Amino acid sequence: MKRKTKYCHNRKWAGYLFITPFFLTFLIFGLYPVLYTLYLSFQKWDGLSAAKYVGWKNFQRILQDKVFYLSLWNSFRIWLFNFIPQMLTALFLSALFTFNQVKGMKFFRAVFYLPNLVTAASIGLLFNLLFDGNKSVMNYILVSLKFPGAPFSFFNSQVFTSGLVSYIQWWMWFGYTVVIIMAGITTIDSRIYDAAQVDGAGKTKTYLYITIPLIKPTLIYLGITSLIGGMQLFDVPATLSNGNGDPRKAVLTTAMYLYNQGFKNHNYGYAAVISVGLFFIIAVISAFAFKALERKGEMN
Amino acid sequence: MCKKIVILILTVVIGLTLISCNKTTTPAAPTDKEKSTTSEKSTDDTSKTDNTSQPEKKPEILSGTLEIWSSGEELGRFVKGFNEIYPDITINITVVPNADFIAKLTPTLASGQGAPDIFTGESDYVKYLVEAGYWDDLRLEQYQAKTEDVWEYIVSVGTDAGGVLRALSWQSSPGSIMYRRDLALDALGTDDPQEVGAMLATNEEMLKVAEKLKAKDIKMFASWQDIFNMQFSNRKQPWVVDDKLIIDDSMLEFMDMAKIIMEKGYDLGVDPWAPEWIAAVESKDTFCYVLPSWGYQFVVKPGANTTKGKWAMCQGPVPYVKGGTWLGIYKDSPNKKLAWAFLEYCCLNAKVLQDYGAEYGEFVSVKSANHALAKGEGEEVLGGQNPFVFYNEQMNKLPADLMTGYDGTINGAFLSTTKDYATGVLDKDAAIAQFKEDVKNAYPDLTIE
Repeated sequence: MKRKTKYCHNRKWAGYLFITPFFLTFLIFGLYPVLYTLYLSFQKWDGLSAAKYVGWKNFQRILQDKVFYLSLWNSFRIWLFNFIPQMLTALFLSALFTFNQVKGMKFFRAVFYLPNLVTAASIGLLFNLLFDGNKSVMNYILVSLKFPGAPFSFFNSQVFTSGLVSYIQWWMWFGYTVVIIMAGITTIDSRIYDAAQVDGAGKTKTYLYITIPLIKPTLIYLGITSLIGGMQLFDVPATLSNGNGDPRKAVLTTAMYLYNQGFKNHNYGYAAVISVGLFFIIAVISAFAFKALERKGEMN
Repeated sequence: MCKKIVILILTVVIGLTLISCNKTTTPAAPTDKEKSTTSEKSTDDTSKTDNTSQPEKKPEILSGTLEIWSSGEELGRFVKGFNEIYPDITINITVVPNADFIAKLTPTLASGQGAPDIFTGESDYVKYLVEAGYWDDLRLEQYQAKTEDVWEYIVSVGTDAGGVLRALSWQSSPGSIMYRRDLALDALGTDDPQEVGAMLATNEEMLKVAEKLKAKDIKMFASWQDIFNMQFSNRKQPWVVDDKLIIDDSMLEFMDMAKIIMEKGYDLGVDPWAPEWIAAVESKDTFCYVLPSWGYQFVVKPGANTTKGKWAMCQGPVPYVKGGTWLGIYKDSPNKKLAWAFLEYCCLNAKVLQDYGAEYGEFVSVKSANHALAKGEGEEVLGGQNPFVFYNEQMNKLPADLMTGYDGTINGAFLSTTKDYATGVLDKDAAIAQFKEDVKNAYPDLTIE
């Protein structure tokens, strides 16, 4: 009887039982695909015939693959030109909404968030309608305004296409960032603001020297998640460029390159290596970011 | 006691998970509820059913559920008629967009779990599927596909390197130049398909016509990229022969033609399927589309409203064929008898295909059905021209089948670099070098000189 009670009250086992469902799901849908990808990266496999072990060949290839490096740079560049304006806009709007009684603030916040709810495929099509062709909406406007040089072949310009993808990403995500930053701001103790007011700090100084430093963890969190998402960018550039990243691979992101190598060219082994490479890069970036967060924690 | 319970639960959960993961322990789902009339005779009846078979011939009673994966909606059009003959067969068609089709199909085939009984393959990758051997041999005893009445091209594409027939199609997609009669009459002095076709007999003459049209502020082409559909059949060799990339001279010629068209503004300057490209059906200043039969069915015919009766079809510099969807039976399907009944119904039954062609205006894969359709009335959109008459002639002139499993990617890379050359971003040598580099990147095992 005593033994029974001892076992039943041993919370160690109950704990394992409770975490089992998560770990089983994780093992099957999380760890297994990762390990299988690692296994595939040493194989040559066209998806249908038997896989063949090729050792480090795929890894040797990726180190010399210019397109892989280009796709990494594309992903990073598109992310950077979306992230900087996104943060600036979000910081400005969140300051505006927090410190001023803006009429209809909730309405605007919801409207800013709306593009995030539209599927990327629809957005790709929408922007195609706006810019593709001499008689596209934008060219029509420019021609009727007698803009010099119009009509433009927008999608033949690498700078324009890449910039457009960054813009679309900004447009889709700044509303989300505003919401998160505003949530971060609400956690700040109002007494700190009162103290600042007593000390004679104006709104700008309060925001720059009190609000922003105090929401740094939120900003870092946004930075990490945005960068990870940015390095995995796929849908918008894929729909906008018919999947191949044209013009001249300007918007070929690493995830698109991976997809094309795997599912279009049937090089599953090499696609697996690209995914390992991407995993490694994201892991390193995340490690740095976590370190930064930790240091912030220590400072606090 | 509690510990034992916990261990028991964990063991059961893990055990169940492992069972679900392990394909070898999955029972060969006896979903085939074929209730054949069991006698040998009835099986023979099925195998003897050829393209002349009539639905009235009292087919074998079959029942069960057939899973079909298709990259388009068209197969669904056959279900109603099929179910009139086989009311006990339920057909589930899963339509997966073409761009994602291979991504969904290959892992399923490789794992063998949840594979459909029938799956389709579009022209860009049909050869990859044909050569992969996941489609059953349609000449096996249980099928004995009779293909004498099927266009040779359809059979050739569906046949693998070893001569095994793996897939067939209900459609065929011969090409045409679809032009505007009113604009032709205005700029060329005639709207007759024979006469206009004669003016477009070579690439050079086609460009001369483009110049004439330009003088009247008419764009000859909706997009220069459409011409690739035609030029593709102008090659002497496929893209890959013995694992070596072949760049046919006609492809180099196409690059120059694209550049001339872009520089002189003979087209709308848009990619195919862009809204403006589609809208050109109703425009006042776009002369033609260089598109195969599906182009008439999906672009011109549905788009023509004010331009009804103002369209016609003629041959361009070369007869061609582009596109198409093939279908075959999964080699490990437990429902092969049902699958064959459906495949035979869609792809070999002349009566069914004739009715289908009459209803949807689609050019079909069986010759006798097309010949019968050619005797019918012409199309209103085409000013009374019967497209089946035109397509039948084109099919007889077709060059050999030049398809390879590499076509989807190589075509994309070629068009992309041709665009760079045509827009002046790269010179011709640099564009060709870029093309070769892109092909090497996609298919590192190919020899590229």
